[in-house]
Order: sequence, then structure tokens, then C-alpha cells
Amino acid sequence: MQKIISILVEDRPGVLMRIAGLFFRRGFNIEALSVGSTEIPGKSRFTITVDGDEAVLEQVRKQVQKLLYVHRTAEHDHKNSQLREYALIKVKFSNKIKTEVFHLVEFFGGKVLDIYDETAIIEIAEEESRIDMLFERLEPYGIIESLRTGKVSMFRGTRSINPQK
Amino acid sequence: MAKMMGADILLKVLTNQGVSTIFGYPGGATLPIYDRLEDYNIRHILVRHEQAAAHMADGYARVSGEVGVCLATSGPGATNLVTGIATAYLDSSPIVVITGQVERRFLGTDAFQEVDIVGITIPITKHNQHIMSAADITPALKTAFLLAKSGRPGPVLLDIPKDVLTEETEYDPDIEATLEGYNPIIAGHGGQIKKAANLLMSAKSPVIVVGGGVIRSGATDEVVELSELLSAPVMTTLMGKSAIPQSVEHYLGMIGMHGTKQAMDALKSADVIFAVGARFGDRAVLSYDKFSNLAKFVQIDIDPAEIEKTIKVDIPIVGDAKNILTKLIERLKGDDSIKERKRELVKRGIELYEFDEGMSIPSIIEILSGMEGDYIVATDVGRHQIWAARYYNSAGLGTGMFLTSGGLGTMGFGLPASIGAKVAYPDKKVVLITGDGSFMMNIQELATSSQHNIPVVVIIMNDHHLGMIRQLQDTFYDGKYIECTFPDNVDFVEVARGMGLDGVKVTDINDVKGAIEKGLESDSTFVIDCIIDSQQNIPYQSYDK
Repeated sequence: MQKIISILVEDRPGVLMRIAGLFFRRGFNIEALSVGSTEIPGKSRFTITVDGDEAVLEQVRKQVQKLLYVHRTAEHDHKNSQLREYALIKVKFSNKIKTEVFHLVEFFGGKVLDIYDETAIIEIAEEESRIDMLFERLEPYGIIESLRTGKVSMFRGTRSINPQK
Repeated sequence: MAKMMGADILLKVLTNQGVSTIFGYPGGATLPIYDRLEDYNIRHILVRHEQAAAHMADGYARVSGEVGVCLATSGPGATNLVTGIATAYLDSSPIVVITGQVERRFLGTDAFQEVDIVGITIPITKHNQHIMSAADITPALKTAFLLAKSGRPGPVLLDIPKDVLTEETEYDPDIEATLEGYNPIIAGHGGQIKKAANLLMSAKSPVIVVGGGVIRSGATDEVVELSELLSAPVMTTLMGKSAIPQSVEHYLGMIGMHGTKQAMDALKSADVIFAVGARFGDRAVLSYDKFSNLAKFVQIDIDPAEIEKTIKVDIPIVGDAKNILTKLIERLKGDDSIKERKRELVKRGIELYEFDEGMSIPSIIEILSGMEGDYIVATDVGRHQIWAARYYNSAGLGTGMFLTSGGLGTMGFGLPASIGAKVAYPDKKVVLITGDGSFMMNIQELATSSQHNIPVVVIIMNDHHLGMIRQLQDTFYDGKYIECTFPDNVDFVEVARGMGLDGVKVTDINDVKGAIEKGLESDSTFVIDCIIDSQQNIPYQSYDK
């Protein structure tokens, strides 16, 4: 079962290694991971997407919670959170297909970022399923390269991972 | 504020933390510390191998409950500590490990004796960190001591580059450790305690399983009181050995693969298993499926990650055992019907080994046990260890005074751990029960014991075999014995003599007691080489019998 876990940590060297090590030891492959700063100075936030046995995952979460630099962990789902992913997709491009590509991208909520040397870079920040659909629709034009950040997530309503809030 | 060198700050903070002994071995990266050592009131025990320094700090910590400190240089000095750190980690022993590191400008260049010891020890420490400036030494050390000792104890490692040790900075002894994300839960949840009380009141045949957590928490009296209140038999895991005094007649001994039959029978007839500071390790449980189906479970542990790690628990309570048990007992006593619960309890029948004339491991342990001294007893790892856990039932055994490497099963733990324990309690006699395999793994520490005059009595169960390997090959590999035999090519008494000590070889069971008495009287380490002539396997327990 796929799980999305947020971890609020102190921004210290080696935190990533400590957290990743705990997932590795229990045989979890981290499907996606994103890290960045938060509204709290000196604190970063991880969003980790993993797939696996629920009980073992709960164990890993408890182990992660024990790390000195970890302040909070939380679990997200479609009901309690907004989940988003960001992707960059480079496709073959020519004036002939300009209109249909622009329409397609606009329809899925993306944006054409750059057009250069008969290629276009498209960005999209959306739910996973909509990004999947855009990929499917762009496939016929020829995807040169692409990347996805993996999910990031935020609780709906007043709930926050920030212990002060 | 006066400026001081990093090495001085380190030694000052250690002194302020009450550290009187460091177990260590010098090297290039730690020389700035050694250069300043004589100005401080700290005893340095010079070991012969860094692994032993970690085990000594561990042994010191286990018996005293205070943080043990060890010190090694960068590179191989640091990697030699790894087994000792992992041993302390698996058995939740509070030690602070200080390693030297190459100068900051050389970090990450594969400089001479550089190794990423912080990276290496992440999975086997409660916490570890680099100290990248002299100003960080004070808060980092204070943090390390606090972490090592509080909550679930464990090893903390600090890695300090050589030039941080020589860097001058202002020393402020009042800088506090900040531990924002660290709040060990001490008091148990009231609602959970109430639930546990209700379950225990309605239970027909509750049993109590005690682990090492009871020793760490100092909750022995509370466990005994609870067991009397409930008329519930008490059993321990290997790590819980010595948590319950032998005078408690309904203490049924050890559970697990090599536990007592009485303990197994009690578990099988229980309707509630009440576990305190025990983590349901695979050797204690034997089969997770069968164990899980035995009864309802209440689990008390200070580490939330231990709850339901291996088995499903009906009522978990996170917190300190003594704290929770006190509240639970109070609640139970408030219920009048508790007095009606008095029932006849099975008394422990101490299993005696069928004594024959020959030299066998259990019969030697029985002789030692029968001497009823208040010794600190340490074991190594192997067949002798399990025999000791089963047959060392001395009334003189104090709480926490049985030292064994339970989690990691580290051969070579015994001698250095004994030395560490003796340093913590110079007035107590320390007896090491070891095997010819285990003893050889840190035998060099005889020289340390000799140099620093730290006497322990060493009883070697010398059966010229790796006994546990032999037993496993016997049981699971059709008795095909491969590489489990040692030729008779080592004279342990001569080895001891070669290191300035003495000993005796014993081949007759009637001479064992006299030899042990001689060892106990000796003011230096005394090695008793017991030539064992039986190869008896330890009985296995199972759910089927």
C-alpha cells in the first residue's frame, strides 16, 4: 500500500542519510522523496512516498521519530491532504503542432516553459493521475526527457506538522 | 572568559559530568587529549585493543547505571570500536564514545587514518555527530551524556577532528544542551494503565515477563509487589536475568529457546502475558505465531518503537517501568476484590543438573552458584553463557549484576566487561564464566588487568570446542561437525603467567571449588582453566512438549 509521510526535521547535515537508512533496513524502496525549507527557521520538511506493509511502515515511522533531529512525522492521504507533484517534460516540437500542444498542456493545468531547437519544455504541478494523463497524451509527440519530483502534501484545514501551530 | 583548547574543554566537561575513568587507546588524532590528561582527575585505563575499551565502558555502565566513556583514535581505532558499540546498542547500555578524526582540512580526502565513523555507526548508536568547532564541544558532550542515560539508554558517539582539539575558544560551562525533538515519555498514559488494571483484574492466570528494562528502570520491587498482588508467576528474558531476586519463590526462571520448562508451562497456561521492559526477541519467543496466540498481551516499554515491533499487543503502555508499575499497583490496591485473588502459586523448582563425577559446564556453574557470594558475574557467548543463565541461581546475585551480551551475542565481551564492572565496583568480586572460544577473542586484556591491577576471577569452560556451534551442527546439520574443534594447543594458565598473572588448570570436579576460592582471594586476575570432558547439549524448549 502506498503511503505518504511528512517529516519535520532540523536542517542538519546527514539527516537524509539517517532517515533513508531506517527505510533501507526494513527493506523499503523510497519511491519518491522531496526536501525543502519550511516557515520555521532551521527546519526542513521531507515528504516520502513508499509502498509496503503497513505494520512494518508504522515501525519505521516510530524509528524515524526517535532520531534526535526529527521533530514530527505525519501521514497523509487523499482525504486529509492536498497532494501534488511537479513534473518537467521535454517533447519534440514544431510550429505544425504548436496549437494542439499548447491546448493540451493548458487543459491539464500545465505550462509551456521554453521552446528551443525544435523542443519544448513543459511544466506541470498537479495530482499524480493528471500528470500521468498528460504524459500519456504527450507520448505520441516524442518525449526526449522527463522528471517528476514525487508527491508533496499539506493537511487540509487547521492541522499542521508545525508543533507550534 | 578564559580561552581554552578544545582538548581541555573536553576533559573539563567530562570531569563536570562526573567521569572518573576513561577506557582508551591513544593515536595520532587523539594525542592533543592525551597531552592534557595529567592535569585532570581522570583515570585512564590503557587497553590492548579498542574493542575492549568499548566493552569495558559498557560493563562499567551496566553495573553502575552511570555513563561509561571510551576513547579511540581515528581510522582503525574507531572501526575497532564498532563491535563494542553495537553490543552496547543492542543491550541498551549507556556509553559515550569519543573518536579522534583527521584535521578538518583533510576531511573527505581519504587522509591517513581517515574513516567516516559517524556514517559507519549511524545504525548502532542512539545518536552520533561530528564536532566541527571547539565551541561545539560543551553542548555536544552535554547532549551526549543526557541522551546516553535518559529514556531508553544507548551509545552516543562524538567524532572530533584533531585541529578542533587544538583550537582555542572561550569555555562557557553553562551552555546548555538543546534537545528540541527529544522528549522521552516517562509517565504512562493514565487510560492505558486503567485498561491494563482492568484486564489484570479479570485475568485468571496472568504471568509477568521481565526484560532488561526492569534493571535499567530500577523497577524490581514494583515487579515483585505486582506479582504478589496478582499471585502471578514471574519469568525473565536473558537480559532480565538478575532483575528478580532468587528469594522470590514464584520466579520461574528464564523463558525462551533455552529457558526453563516451568517458564514455558506457565506461558502456555497464561491468559494474560504482562511484559515489562522486554522486547520479545526471537530467541525469547521462539515462534511469533505460536507466542502471539498464547494469551492477551500488555507491554510496557520506554521506547515507543518497541511496542508491537514483533507481536501484536492488546494494551501497550509507553513509559518508565517503575513509574507505570507504581501507578498500576496503586490502582489495583484501590480495588477491594484484589484480596480475593490470592491463589496458590507454583514454586520454582530449581532444576539441578544431574551431577556426575566428571567436569561438566553446568556442574561447575552449580558449584559457583552454591557459594552464594554477592559477586558480579559476567559471561561470554556460547554454550557456557546459556548454562550460566539457567544454572547460576545464587541468592547472592544482586540486581543488574549478571552481565551478558544478549542482543548481539558478542564473543569476547566477557573479559573486558568484567574489567569495566570491577572498575565501577572495586570492592565487589567479579567472576567471569567464559569459554575457550570466547576468551581467546579478547585475551589480550589480561595484560590490561595486570597492568592496572584490576582483578577478576576467570573460569574457562575449556571443552576444546565452539560448544554452541557443535550443538547447532548436532541439532540442525545431522551431527556433521565442521570447524568447531580446537586442538589442545593453548595453555591458558601459561598465557596468564606470561602476562604477569597466575592461574590453575583443573581436571577434577572436586578441585573446582578450591580453585574458585583461591581466585577470589587473589589480588590479581586468576585464570581457572577447567578442562571439560562432556559435550552435553543444552535442552531446547518448545511449545509442543
